[in-house]
Order: sequence, then C-alpha cells, then structure tokens
Amino acid sequence: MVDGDRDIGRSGIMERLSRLLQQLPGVGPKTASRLMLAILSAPAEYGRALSKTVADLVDKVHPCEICGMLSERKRCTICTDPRRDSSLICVVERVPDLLAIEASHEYRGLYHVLHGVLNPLEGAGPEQLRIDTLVERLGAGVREVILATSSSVEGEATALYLKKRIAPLGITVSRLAAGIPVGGELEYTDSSTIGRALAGRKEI
Amino acid sequence: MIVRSVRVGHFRNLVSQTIQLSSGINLFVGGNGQGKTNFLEAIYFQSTLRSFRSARLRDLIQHGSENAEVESGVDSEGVPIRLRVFIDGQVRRLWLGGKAVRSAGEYLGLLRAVAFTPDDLAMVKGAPSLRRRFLDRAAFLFQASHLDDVRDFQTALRARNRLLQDASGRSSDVELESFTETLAACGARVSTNRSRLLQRLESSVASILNRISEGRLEARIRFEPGWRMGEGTDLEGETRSLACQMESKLRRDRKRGSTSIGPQLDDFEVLLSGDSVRRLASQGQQRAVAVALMLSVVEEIVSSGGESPVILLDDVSSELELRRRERLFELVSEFGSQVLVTSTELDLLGALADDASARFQIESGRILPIGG
Ligand SMILES: Nc1ncnc2c1ncn2[C@@H]1O[C@H](COP(=O)(O)OP(=O)(O)O)[C@@H](O)[C@H]1O
Ligand SMILES: [Mg+2]
Ligand SMILES: [Zn+2]
Repeated sequence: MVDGDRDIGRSGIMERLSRLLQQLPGVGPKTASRLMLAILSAPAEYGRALSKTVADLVDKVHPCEICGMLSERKRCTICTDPRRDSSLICVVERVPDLLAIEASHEYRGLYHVLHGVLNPLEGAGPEQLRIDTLVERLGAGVREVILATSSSVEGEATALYLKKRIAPLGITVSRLAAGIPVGGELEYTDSSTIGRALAGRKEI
Repeated sequence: MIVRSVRVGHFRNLVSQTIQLSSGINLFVGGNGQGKTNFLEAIYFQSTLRSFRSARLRDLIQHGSENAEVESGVDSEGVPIRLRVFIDGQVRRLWLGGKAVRSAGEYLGLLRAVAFTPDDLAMVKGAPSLRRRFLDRAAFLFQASHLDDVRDFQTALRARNRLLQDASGRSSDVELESFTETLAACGARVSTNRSRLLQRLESSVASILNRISEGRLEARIRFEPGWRMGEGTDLEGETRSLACQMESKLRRDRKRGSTSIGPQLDDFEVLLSGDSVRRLASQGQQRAVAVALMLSVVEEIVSSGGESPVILLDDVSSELELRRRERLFELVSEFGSQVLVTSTELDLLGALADDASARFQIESGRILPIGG
C-alpha cells in the first residue's frame, strides 16, 4: 500500500465515500480511491452535479408500473409508445436484458421485467417476482408471451412456472430459440444472435 | 497432449519455480509430505480447474500468500498453447496465450489430463460416490458439457429439496412441479451421459483386465441408475419418465425433505464371469479392475483418434502388487502418452524407472531434476 492510500483510510469523509463506492459492482479499494481522486481533482461543479444527479436518480427513477423497466414517469416510454405491438410481451429477468433486446432493434412488442428468477435456495419465490402483475396484464389483447429468462436452472424453472400459469389462459407461450450461449445472459449476447433467437422462438 | 513446462507460483507447499517436462515418462520421487501430490494436483487443476482432492479453491493458495497461479506450455493437437490460471482469494482468472478468457467453456478441454490416486484404487469397493466421481470425470473427457450438466443437476436438486422441506407450505405446487421438471431434464442428461460412457468403456475394460491380470475373465459392466431408466436413446422420453417417477414419490419426498430417486444414486457394478467384483473379488482383483477402468478411458480416447490425455499416477505403485504394477506401467508406455508418476521410492517403479525419460526429486516443495 502507498502512503496516499493510508491517508485516505484515515479521513472520515473519504473513507465513507470509498466504502460506498466499493459496494458497486467491479469496484475494489483501488478503483474506489482512483474515482474519488478524480472527483476531487475535477472542478467542484462536477462533484456537486454528480451528487445531485445521483440523488435525483434514486428519488425520481422508479420501475414502470406496467412493465418494471426503469423510468422517470409512472409509465415508461416503451409502454406508452403507440407504435409498439401490444399483443406481444417479452418476459426478461432484469433491466439489462431488456436493454440488450432493445439494442438489437429486432423486437417491436412490449416487455415485462421480473426483477429476478425463482430461486428457492435464496428464498426467492413467485411473490418476490413481478409475476402477479404480469398475469394481470394478460387480459386485454395479448396474443403471445415470449419467455426470455436465462438458460440457467433457475431461468428454465421460472420459464416452466410461467408457462404453467399463462398457458391455461389461452395465450401462446414461446421460448427464445437456442443460440444464447450456455449460462450466458442476454446482456452479454450480441444483437444478431438475439435477433436470430427471437425469430426462431418456439412455442412451449 | 504434452505439457512441456509448468510454472507454479504460491501453489500449496511448492516453491515457485518452472519445471521442464519430458514428453514421455516423468518420475517424481520424494518422501511423504514433500509436495509430490501437490505438483500433480497443480497440473490437474490447470487441466480441469478443479482439484482431485475436492478442495476449496483457497486451499490451493500457499499459506501466508494471497494468490496462487499455475501456467503451462502445452502441445495440444500439435499446436503450442499457453494456459494460465490465477487464483485470487475466491476468484479464478484464466488466460489463453496472453488473452484473458471469460468463460471456463473456452478453456476446458485444451489440456486434458486423467489422474489416478490411491483413492481411485478403492473405487470398486468404496462408497458409490467414488464411482460417480470416476464416471463424471471420465464422461467430461469425452464430452466437456457433462460438467455443466452435473453442476446444473446439483443446483436443481438442492432447489427442489429446499422446496420439499418448506413445511409452511408457502411454496406452491406449481413452483415445485417446475423445479421437478427442470431437475428431470438435467438428471436425464446426467444419467444418459454416464450410461453411454460405460457402454463405450466396457470392451476396453475387459481387454485391459486380461492384459494386467492372469487368466481369461469375461468382464461386463452394469450401469445401475438411481431411477428406472429406459434405453437412454430418447432424452425427452427419459426426462418425462424421470419427472413422473419423481412426482409419484412426492408424498414420501415431502416427508423426508429430499428427493429419493435420481442420478444422485447412480452406481455401476463390474462383473467378472458373472460375479460381482465388489462383493466377491479379492482386494488385488478389485484394484486391478480400478486400474482397468482408468486405462480404458485413455484407450477409448486414443482408439477413437483423439490425442491421449496426460496421465497422472499418484503413489499408486505402493498400493499395487509388483506384477500388476509392472503390467500397468507397460500398458501406459504402449499408449505413448505423457505420464507423470510419483513414488516414495524409485525401486517401487520397477522397469518404469528404466524407461523414464526424466526423473525429479521433490523435497520441501522444491523440484529438482536428477541426473542419470
Ligand atoms: N496451502 C498450502 N500451503 C502450504 N503448504 C501446504 C498447503 N497445502 C498443503 N500443504 C503442505 O503440503 C504437504 C503435503 O504435500 P503432498 O504433495 O500431499 O505430499 P506428498 O509428497 O506426500 O504427496 C504437507 O506438508 C502440507 O502441510
Ligand atoms: Mg501424496
Ligand atoms: Zn413500461
């Protein structure tokens, strides 16, 4: 450890910020002090704007009440876009999966973000996921639900569970075609692969 | 497949060093506790990203150190490659050449090794888990995805058992059914892979056994799946069948809080002229069968045109009778594989010591070539 690091360790404010930053994914002690020093050496305006924007982010950005996508409004821009095909709902585990499918420009339907998967070992059951809100959406004019949960054990079991809940309602349920790398989440899959997986989806 | 050189850093008790290996037979001699098994473990870990002692990752890191690494120069299918694994606390990082590798899938299979330890010699008579471990390691050599299948199966099994234990009845039947079906899909794959493996090995085991043991014995292998399995030809059918069998045991499973049938109970039996080796054979015969099982894996790979895996023989010489030991070593030489053998004494290795193309002494974790 260099002496600079130790000074950071001693200071109350800097230590607190370092701890906070280290709770972010991919940030260890070294990255945390690098980020902190970068904030300090930038003009003071930068740091203030950053802190205000972070505060706005947590106060004003919430899950869309319909699909669970993050939005500053009650309903997100996808759910309120009249050009989207509202007879099609694609179910994903997390927001980054939704963003990956959007980035492929291959899909014009709506989404539903579960914010997780069924995981008995971590105590995540159907109540912890946005499954009831999904079932509520299925009344009006929905023709097909595409299940785009991952190919992990939990993702597969979640897809089976949703199929069992949705199929009795007389709605087509399909699963993304193979082509998504094993255990690979959509987030890390390239656009053309996502496009092919969507086009080749199979009814289950 | 040939490991040309190995560099270990802070791995177990081994002194950080680079070892140049011969493409033939490499002998490692040293007293107990000097680091012989640790060195073979390093190479096995380089190959499979697991230890054959089923240790946790952090056990591999030298006491007092924060990380460990193993790097090997390997000839794989005639192409020189460089593999590197770095263990940093709980995390494992991989490199191929100078490039970081994100997924184990891209890495596994580039260096293939089979390990044979005194534990494996006890496989025939010992607990069924030893035999399943053999099946899974061997199946992995033919089909790298088998390890994913086993891992998924174990995850699904734990998840289903948790739901079964949920006494509050909070978990819905639909949720349990979903995990049962997922478990059945993974389970049918695992048992099918194991069953196919044994069919594949059967005739090699028989012929090797006749070469290392006296007399002509007719050897057969009987797979004993932990559920009622069909021919294993129709995976979807097997999946449905396993799910049904699990559903039919639901009441009992809820009571005991765990899944009572499935691949977690798979086993196999070797029969010599119709008799169970586990129950009737002598300890010497049982060990010979264990050796034959291991060698049959290598022979199958080689005879189907694959490159022989590197063979790691840890301390088996002290546990096998001289005659069988010599035949074992003869066979290993015939495969033309690269072999790493450890022993406490050079004498135990018999003729193999003369055929060896490189010899090393291991003392307090330091590996030194012996001249001569
Ligand atoms: N993580 C570790 N760090 C340092 N030493 C270790 C570590 N793990 C095991 N050892 C030491 O390694 C030695 C055992 O080496 P091993 O390779 O099993 O010996 P052998 O030559 O008998 O096969 C023991 O002395 C043990 O204390
Ligand atoms: Mg040893
Ligand atoms: Zn929305």
